[in-house]
Amino acid sequence: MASVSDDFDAFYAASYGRLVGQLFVVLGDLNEAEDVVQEAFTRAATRWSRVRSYEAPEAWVRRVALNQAFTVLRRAKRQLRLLSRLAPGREPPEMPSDVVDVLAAMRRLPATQRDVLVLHYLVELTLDEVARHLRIPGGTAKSRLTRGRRALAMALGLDDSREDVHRA
Amino acid sequence: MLDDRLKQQLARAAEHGAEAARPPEPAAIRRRGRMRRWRRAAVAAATACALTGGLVVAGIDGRPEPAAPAARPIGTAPASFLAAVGGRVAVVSTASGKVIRYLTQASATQAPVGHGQFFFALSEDRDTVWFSDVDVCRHSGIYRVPYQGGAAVRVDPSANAEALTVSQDGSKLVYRPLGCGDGAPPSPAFAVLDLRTGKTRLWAYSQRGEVLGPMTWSPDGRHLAYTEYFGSSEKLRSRAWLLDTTGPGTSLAASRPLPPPDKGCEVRDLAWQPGTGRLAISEACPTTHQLVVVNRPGGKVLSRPLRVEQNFAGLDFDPSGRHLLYTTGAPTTPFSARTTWRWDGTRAIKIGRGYAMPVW
Repeated sequence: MASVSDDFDAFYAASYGRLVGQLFVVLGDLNEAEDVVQEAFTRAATRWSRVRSYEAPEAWVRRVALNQAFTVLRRAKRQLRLLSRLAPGREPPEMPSDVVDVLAAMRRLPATQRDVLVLHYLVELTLDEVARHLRIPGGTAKSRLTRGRRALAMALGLDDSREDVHRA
Repeated sequence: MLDDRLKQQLARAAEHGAEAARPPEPAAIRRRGRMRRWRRAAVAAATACALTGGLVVAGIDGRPEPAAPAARPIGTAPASFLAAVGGRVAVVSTASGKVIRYLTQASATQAPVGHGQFFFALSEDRDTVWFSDVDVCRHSGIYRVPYQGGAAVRVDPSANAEALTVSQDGSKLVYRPLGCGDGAPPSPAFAVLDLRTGKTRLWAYSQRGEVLGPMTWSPDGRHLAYTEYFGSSEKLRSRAWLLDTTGPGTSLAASRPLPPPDKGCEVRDLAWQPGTGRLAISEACPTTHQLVVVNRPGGKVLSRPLRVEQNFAGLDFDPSGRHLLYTTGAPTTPFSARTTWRWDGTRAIKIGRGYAMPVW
């Protein structure tokens, strides 16, 4: 019989990278993404006996990480305002140009739209599921997806004029 | 088409992040979680002490036998415990004995409250309370409610459960099933509910007429130590047994006997000490009452560290295994009229009366 810690370790190993990838797209910064994911896993570890019984423990960890990401983004915004008065920002780490473009485009979107885009396109949740995950009304999820999708397509030079957001 | 392209680009960025991620060892994450839990507990305890101006010792009748040094350094007791107060499950301050909040209220939960008798258990991480509200043949069910308060969720709608005990890893709940009419389970019996799968396994004697008493899980959630009463009503005798719940079969006859009580004494209650392989057993003896600590693997008696003038039961260790909660009162005394004490390894401290079946 696998012990509780084995169980947690297996879950952690299976989902850590995937969650960091998703949060990386939301935050645009690998260190920040790893921080919020580790924080979410730490919280999961403290209440693992309960979290493990959930239907989708990874969804719970993701939600905690996304909530944490909001805090990080708010803090970053404040810091950015301060830093812009002092000195130029640091260069981002080396990344393929298309990844840099996507991250730059995502960074220009409000955090609420980034969450919806990541949950819909990366986690492959339907609009209803996105709404439930973020605890927002279905109409709000849909409008955020529509706006986010349009803004992202424009920033990446993709044409979305003839397409509608697919329904959940 | 556009959706596919967006998806591809986002997925490529996510893959890049996932590949570049450097996960710390899972043990480090678990350690961080443990540290945080300890820190939170320490802050809460320090706050409680600061608010009450330290612990108050009053009216000790459960004096410990020769001051044997505690096996481990004494920490601070949990700031609160759980008890039935006025027909509701309540969180009670350890220091002041006052009710901090009620967990079961008709308006806050869907549970049928106040009609039957409550039984409850608190998870080791003190996150979740499991309780049953039993009124045989009228309503039944096991519920889960957050320790911090919130709505109750019905986990098992059909169980008429008495004397709930949750395993330390939070994966299993054991209770004594009560039946109604043709649906009555064989008696005596224990039901083990796997909280992950929702499946219940029934352990029973096939023909014997014993009555099962309190039970406690081993720290690994594998063994169940329990008491059994037998004999005539004029002279009721008791024994403690150990059952491997992972073994084959469903007969309680597979249980192994724990050391018999001292001559003339009867087993009243037992509790496994977290973080150790030790089992604490309360025994009612002709002239006094005592706590016997046994080494579970060998069943060897290690010490008799506490003597109490009255009958005592309701044993429950805190998660650190350093503080013991118990109640005193004659077996016929209603639970709510018994006196609640805590013992820190060297001294017994009275908390008060009116708390039925306290656990922490």
